[in-house]
Amino acid sequence: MKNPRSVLLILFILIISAASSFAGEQRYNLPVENSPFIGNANAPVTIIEFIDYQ
Amino acid sequence: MAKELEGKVKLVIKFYPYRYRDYARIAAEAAVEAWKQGKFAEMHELLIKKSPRLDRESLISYAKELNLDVEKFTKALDNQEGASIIERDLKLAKELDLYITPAFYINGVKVLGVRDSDYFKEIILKELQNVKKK
Repeated sequence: MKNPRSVLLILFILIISAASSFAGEQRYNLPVENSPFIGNANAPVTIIEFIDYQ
Repeated sequence: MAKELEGKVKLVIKFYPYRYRDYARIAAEAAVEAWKQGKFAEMHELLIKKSPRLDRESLISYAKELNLDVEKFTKALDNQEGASIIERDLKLAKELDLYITPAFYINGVKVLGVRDSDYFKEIILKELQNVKKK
């Protein structure tokens, strides 16, 4: 890359796309009522697991 | 799960028995009935430990091992009394386009497939930090 400005531009685009993909982390809001659970009912972290026992 | 995370994590189970596995469905029935009898965590652990030995007779022997009401348990399996719960979960999985298990949602963030405990620990610790900041 000869032109330092184009290097900067590419760097800028990379940073923007990385930031937006981080911010775009999707969070699903799933119902948990009337499902069995293990652990503290008021825990700050909830893990929902879809399981097949076989 | 590590001691330091005790009390900080709640694991909610949704049932996603594959249609084409012989004992997937009846094992889910066993878990639902154990839940109704107040021994979900114990049965959940046992099913994972004993898998794939999950035929009807084996499940009944696990119920005995956990001191469940075996007569009620057997009736629940045979009458598929957990069907409404299991069907509800299957419907949810379908709506979410899930096609593999295990599938996890950690505070709503999706993680697909088997992962080691360090992977989960890292995410959980990050979530705990987020909670603290709020």
